[in-house]
Amino acid sequence: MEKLLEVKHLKQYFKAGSGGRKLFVKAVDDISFDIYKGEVFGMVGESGCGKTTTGRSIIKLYDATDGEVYFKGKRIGGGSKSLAAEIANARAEAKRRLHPELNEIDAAKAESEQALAVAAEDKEAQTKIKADRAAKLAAIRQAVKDHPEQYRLPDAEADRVKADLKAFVASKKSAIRKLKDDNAFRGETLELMKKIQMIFQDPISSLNPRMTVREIIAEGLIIGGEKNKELIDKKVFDILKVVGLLPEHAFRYPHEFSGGQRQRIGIARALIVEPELLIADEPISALDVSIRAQVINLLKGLQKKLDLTIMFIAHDLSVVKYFSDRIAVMYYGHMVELASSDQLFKHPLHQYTKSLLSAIPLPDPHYERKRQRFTYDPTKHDYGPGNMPSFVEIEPGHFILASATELEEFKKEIAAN
Amino acid sequence: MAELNKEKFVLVQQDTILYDERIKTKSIGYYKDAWLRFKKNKASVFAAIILIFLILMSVIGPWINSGYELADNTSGIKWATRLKDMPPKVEGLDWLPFFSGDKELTGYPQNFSNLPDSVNVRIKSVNNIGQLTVVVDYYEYTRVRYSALIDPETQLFDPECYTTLSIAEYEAVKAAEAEYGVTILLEDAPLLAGSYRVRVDYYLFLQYVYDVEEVVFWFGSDGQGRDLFTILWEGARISLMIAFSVALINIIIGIIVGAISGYFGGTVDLVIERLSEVLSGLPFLAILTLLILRFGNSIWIIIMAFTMTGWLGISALTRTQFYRYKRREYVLAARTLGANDIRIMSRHIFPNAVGTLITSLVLYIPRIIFSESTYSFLGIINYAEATSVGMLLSNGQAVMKESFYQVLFPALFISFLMLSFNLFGNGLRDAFNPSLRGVEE
Amino acid sequence: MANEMEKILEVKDLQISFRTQQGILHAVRGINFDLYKGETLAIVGESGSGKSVTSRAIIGISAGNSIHDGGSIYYYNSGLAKFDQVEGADNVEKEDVIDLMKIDEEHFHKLRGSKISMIFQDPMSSLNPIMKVGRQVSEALYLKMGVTKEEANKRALELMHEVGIPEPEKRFYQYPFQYSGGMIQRIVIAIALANNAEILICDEPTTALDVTIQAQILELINRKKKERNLSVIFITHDLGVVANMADRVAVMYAGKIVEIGTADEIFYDPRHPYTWALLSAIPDLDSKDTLFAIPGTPPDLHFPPPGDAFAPRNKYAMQIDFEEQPPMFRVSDTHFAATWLLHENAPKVEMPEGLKRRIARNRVSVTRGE
Repeated sequence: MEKLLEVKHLKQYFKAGSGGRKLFVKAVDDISFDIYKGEVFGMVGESGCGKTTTGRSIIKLYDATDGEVYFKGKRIGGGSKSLAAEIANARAEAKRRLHPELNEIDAAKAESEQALAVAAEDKEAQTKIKADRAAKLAAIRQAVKDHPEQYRLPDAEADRVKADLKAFVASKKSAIRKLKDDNAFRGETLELMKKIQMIFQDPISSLNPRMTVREIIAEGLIIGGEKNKELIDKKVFDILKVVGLLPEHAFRYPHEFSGGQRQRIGIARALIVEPELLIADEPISALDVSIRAQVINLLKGLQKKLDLTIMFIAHDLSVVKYFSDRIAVMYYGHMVELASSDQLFKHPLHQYTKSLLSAIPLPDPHYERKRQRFTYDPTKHDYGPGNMPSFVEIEPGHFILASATELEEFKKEIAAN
Repeated sequence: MAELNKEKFVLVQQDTILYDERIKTKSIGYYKDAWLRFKKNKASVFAAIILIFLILMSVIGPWINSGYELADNTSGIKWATRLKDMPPKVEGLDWLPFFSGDKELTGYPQNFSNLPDSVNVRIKSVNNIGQLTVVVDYYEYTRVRYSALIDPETQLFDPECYTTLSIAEYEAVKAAEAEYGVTILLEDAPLLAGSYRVRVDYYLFLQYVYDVEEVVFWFGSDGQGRDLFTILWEGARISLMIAFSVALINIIIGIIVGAISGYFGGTVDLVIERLSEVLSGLPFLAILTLLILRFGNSIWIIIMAFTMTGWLGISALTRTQFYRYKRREYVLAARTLGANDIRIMSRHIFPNAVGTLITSLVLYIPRIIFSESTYSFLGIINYAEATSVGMLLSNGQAVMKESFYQVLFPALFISFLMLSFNLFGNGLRDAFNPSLRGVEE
Repeated sequence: MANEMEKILEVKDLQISFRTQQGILHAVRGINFDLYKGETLAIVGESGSGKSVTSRAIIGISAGNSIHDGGSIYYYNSGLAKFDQVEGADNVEKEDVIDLMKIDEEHFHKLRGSKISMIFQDPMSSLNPIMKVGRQVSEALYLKMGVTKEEANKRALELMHEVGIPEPEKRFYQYPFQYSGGMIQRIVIAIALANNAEILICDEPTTALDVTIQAQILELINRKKKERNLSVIFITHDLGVVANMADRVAVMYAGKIVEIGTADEIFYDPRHPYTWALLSAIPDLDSKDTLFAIPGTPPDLHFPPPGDAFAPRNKYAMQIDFEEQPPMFRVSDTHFAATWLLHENAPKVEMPEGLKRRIARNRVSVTRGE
């Protein structure tokens, strides 16, 4: 199957706070997945898990912090944080090689820090420790002066190190430049971006209250340069019919419509430019139950008819399962599991997926009376340096975020099923 | 329950595709909606009417009482000063004490004893040094004073009532007498040093020689004999023109700067904000004074002074509005459709902000008027071309005791103008808010 | 069941409308239901069905522009002094019955909190943002019960612990913005139950919450209901939640109750086309059948239709549906539906195939997923 969208190690961090207390909110923290042409790819998770941010990063409403996004094989977006980090690391390393005394200085400083921490109350001891440290540092610097051959690389080698560094930095910088180029809203990227459209969650604020429905829907055409008024009208009326509204609705304002109707207008707006990828960001969460079915059926019909690829972001698992071919489960910026919808519901592996599934209420009183819910405890993973999880394909089409040990257990679980 | 017809129990719409119903209620656009709400507010509608009236008067007012153009006539101007400080008189309303043309005078009894009855001297009070305070028909009094006033001590005609005519004027008098058969000259005299020192019936003289139809000042006259009614509306014209120009320029600058600042945010916003802060620290009075000193006192300089920093408020307001709307989902949607920044700013954000902006614009104008009036009152601004309302107030203040009307009418004008603008602006604000039904603000 | 259970609320032919810019909106057009002690009655409906209006009328917080067109809400054994304005109540002897649509604000003050409590949908606006949380809980106590502040604080801490707030001593002195949505709802429940109310009205309390938090809150409500023998009116549009919480279910559409019955009856033997539509509209975890979507939108109740309000959207509508409103037809002692399809003259119509299959599947399987 042809890959329409490829997301590689996407990271989206937001700055919060400033200056010394700068915090990064890691909305999306290193996720990778592909979307195939013609499928419905569902993304679920609870509030704050990063699913909406992922959708918006793909459509470039946010500038990605790191990672890359490919659409139809061409890179359309990405962030340069890791490249920048590589440059910084290379520079630091080269510095160490050219000035090895820095390691000793660091060691001395670390030692004194520890000692200071221990002797927190004792002012006398603190002064002594600080004096010791000053003496040590002075001694090291003196040693460098006295024995340069111990601390300095021979000129030829030093030059080589510098030259290597320069070449490395240059290549990374050009990579960053290329990335910025691909990322910019012009040329090929701009053309490709027009093929990705989005429908939004809130039916109230997703339509401009000061524009008529016709103006709202025709926006895409007008921006694309279409000037023929009759053609625009015809296209607008056609698409209104497709979503189940009447042509006369085109001259009304959004506030005269119900939530479900507004959502359909939003869908019309996205579809009129004939996109290939449609990102649906919680399109039904704000709607009534019976209206949800309308919109879902509409999307399903359109998907078949127009061979659309849909990325369906929601938190209602039953709807996601019904509508999606594959589902990805997100938890606080990480993708914890990805499988076909049948597989995910029949044999969920990750603890979070299991807890999420056990919490869904179903319209079936007998089932409800017997349902047991389990909670997810993230600390049980015991992740740490040396025991970090990665996103692996544990069986064909079924990915899971697990550390090496957990992977073994999951394999056993699969065998048992 | 009546017997239900079996035929009614037939399934009727099993196979039809059901579309959405037609919407039954009427569609109301944004401005129409606001207009309907505005109409309900009686005070604002009334204020709007007053406002329109005032603006209209400032346009056509000076033409209404143009029967009196003496002050504009270069040769006539010296005659106008005789008609200074005259109280308001409106024919038809002269039974009202205010518009009767009466004025209070204070003097010794002999000053009033030999005035003709037409002057209608009424004694009001006596003070402790024997002076009388009387109320006279000032128009008649003035006429007598410059025509046939008898000096109480000498029993001869008071020198004041003699008029020195130029040769042209004398000929004109003679000609008019011959043509219309009226007696203008009361006492003739021979040509002496190029002029004639005669006694004339002053009002008739003005009427036939200088085309003054009737000596009547609706709002009284000022210290130079100019018709206050005319002067007031001319001054109103200046004030309103300045206010509207300043408002317009400031709005345009403010919206552009605020839009850029609010829409782009980040560094652009930071820089503009800091510049704005510096500008807002500049003392307006100092700028005004410096500009006047350097460039003189024309209206354009004043406008420039006001527009140097006046746009800051609007810019801040626009900036907030842009911040408020730029994260709305329909803006994001427009961006995904490929809209560029200009389009988003002008078609998506600005129309939503327009309600608030119109309101603040309307409420901004009275502040400019008040500011300009204050400075011209204080004499800091002193137009060469015309007398603004503030200057009128300042002139009137000097003679407030005897000629209160010279303060009253300019003050009333400013008060009504500002009150109406404020009420109108409040009405607009309430009409545009809640902006739209169905939108959660 | 009716004779075993004690009736606590009786809504009789309630009619409420609103004065709006476009005219009179007929929000509730004659509904009848009972609430028994110790049960959970779920009122299911979509926007515009009138469910919130009904609940607000019970606790007396109808909007300023509401008009009481008719009907009553009888509250039995409230403990308020016996009133005489009882018309049409079951028991005409001087029983302790009051009509909630007729009592004035002062009497409502006595009822709210101590007898009837309500929790709302949006946790973020349910608490006073500038008052410490603990104080908001204890305030409920010492205003009503006449206890001292210290006692109130102590009891408030107990309550906070009861509803599952971790570290209540620390949390007592925090502000609402330091709480998550789920925790605020717990506090709201604590406040609602502080004065030992016997009727709890929940107006979509979990709609704004994540699925796991929702599950926790629902479990909390169920627990409290058992402990205190509460009578709960639970308003929602989520049928999954209804299946979890409800003993009996009332389905509302366009200001009327279209079907009412026990949870089993409604989910396994629904009779009204709207109920069928609601159940069919929920995606089934096991099948990919097209969802049965109801076309169109609910009617504008400024212009209430003469017949069955659901007719224009009803695949099974009959001529008479457009002309006359159907009365409540009896399916069983506890199950009633207002549809002409239950009339003897009506053609035999069965629920849609997809729904039938799903119900059959549900009856068989008891566990799902894992």
